[in-house]
Amino acid sequence: MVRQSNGEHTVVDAAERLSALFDSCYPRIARYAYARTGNRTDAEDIAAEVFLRALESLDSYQERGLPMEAWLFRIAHNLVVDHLRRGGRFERADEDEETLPDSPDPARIAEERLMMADVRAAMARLTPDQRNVVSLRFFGGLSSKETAEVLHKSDGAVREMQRAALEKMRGLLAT
Amino acid sequence: MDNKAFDRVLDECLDRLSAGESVEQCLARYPDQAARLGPLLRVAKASRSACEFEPSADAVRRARLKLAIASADRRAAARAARKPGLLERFFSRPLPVAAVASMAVIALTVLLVVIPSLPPGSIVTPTGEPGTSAPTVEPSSTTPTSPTSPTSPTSPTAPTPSSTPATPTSEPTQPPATEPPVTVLAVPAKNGNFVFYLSDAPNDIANFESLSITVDSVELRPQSGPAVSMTVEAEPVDLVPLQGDIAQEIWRGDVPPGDYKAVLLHVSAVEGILASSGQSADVVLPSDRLRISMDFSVSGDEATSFVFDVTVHRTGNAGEGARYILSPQASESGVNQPIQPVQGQKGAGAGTTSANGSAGTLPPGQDRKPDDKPRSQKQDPTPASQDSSAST
Repeated sequence: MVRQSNGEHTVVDAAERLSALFDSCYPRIARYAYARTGNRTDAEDIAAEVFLRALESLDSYQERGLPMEAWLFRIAHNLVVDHLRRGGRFERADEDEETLPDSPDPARIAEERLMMADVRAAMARLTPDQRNVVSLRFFGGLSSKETAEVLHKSDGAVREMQRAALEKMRGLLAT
Repeated sequence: MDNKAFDRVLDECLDRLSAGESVEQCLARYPDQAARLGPLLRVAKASRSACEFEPSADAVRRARLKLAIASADRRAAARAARKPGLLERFFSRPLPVAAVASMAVIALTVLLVVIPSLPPGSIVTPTGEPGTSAPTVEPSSTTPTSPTSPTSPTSPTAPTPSSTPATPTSEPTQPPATEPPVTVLAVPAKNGNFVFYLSDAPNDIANFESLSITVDSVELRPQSGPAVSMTVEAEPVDLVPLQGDIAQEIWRGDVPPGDYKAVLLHVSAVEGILASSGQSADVVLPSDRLRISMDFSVSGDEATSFVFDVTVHRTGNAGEGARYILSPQASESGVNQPIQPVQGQKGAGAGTTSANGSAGTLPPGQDRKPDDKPRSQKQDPTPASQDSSAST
């Protein structure tokens, strides 16, 4: 009649939670990676890799007590940083060679491309911390508290970097 | 307003923008800060829309399959590396085994050889009287260990009037009151308030001659409180005939009315035969349970029918190396899905709950009549299902 839970169930539950988070988190992680890389394929690959890494490290996750969603973004953040170090095309403002989704309006495509290039150029001028905050907050959809957990910062520091980043981007985009 | 206070306002407004509010709505909340807030919110909004990106459906599908395969491999590896049981660990160490065996031989030698050879009167009992046997324990002084032990005076184990009052029988065997039940067992019943169907979404099922799964149990996770478990007759159900709206009832009975958030299908075996070759297919079940997270309600007044749709996807190229992943299909599952109920397949054995309350096929000669539809077909199922997701 009664089945008691045990440690094995806890691990199984964590694996199930990871699978259940896939639908909601995969697009957001891909969006975050895209904001950092400017490359759709790389962003999709990184997002897929995040879940595989998370599955491999599920046991270590048990011990940390971090919300799983924030933990996934921390893995994504580390993968992006690794990719940058390996000389990926990340964060080069003028090299988005990706084609935009099909659109019947060539003028709109050009406009979007220019806007994207401007934003990425502005982001490239931010400090690394500011860039991380903007990417996680605006493109990953994390709250400032979750962003702070991912980046090992305080909530206040994240809010401050967020304001400073926006003020700097405002100046850069206005010119 | 100092920078820290402004940072909080800006942070709140950015969250509101994410939730769908416009810049103007945010500024209306803080008119005093509008001059400083407005440009920053517009930059944030423009940046967000400039980098708008949705991963392709194909990339999502590939990533999901990769995760499912990795989950299956991880589970298989965990099973292979399963920690041995106490006896296994004990017998894997020769030294303790030898020590225990030696002790047993010595004890037996003492009992069978040494004690019988001693002269009478040399053994002193606890009462101090030599030669008497050890005091026997009267039945009346024993403590019954089962909570269901008879207590009538005629029972051989009942305490005699002259005996010391026995310890309350329930105390030693009842679980501690601080541990609530994790799972309660639902009771099968012919006219129960819950009917569970199994069905199959098309996808790659056409590649199979048969694809049988053995369901051990179904588990309902309520919004709060213990999970509800339904034991299913452990015989395989072939998914191939259950495509589209066709669904097979595998459990019917009573479950606690209330709001539920997930359904788990515990699967013990999967076997697929390919239509093209007649060979056994490599079908992967990422975990021994398939889960659909979905809000739904079960009423106490009328039967609620739940359809759990299982689907199979091929990964890799077609042919001998093809691998198939079994996964739940949340969009086709739930309590408000149209179904065409079918009987349990011949030889499959999975059918409705029998009248005597045990899970199994209908008794011989009691096949379902054409008008004997499940109750869900006669009544509108309880509306539910808002947010749903499936996982393995």
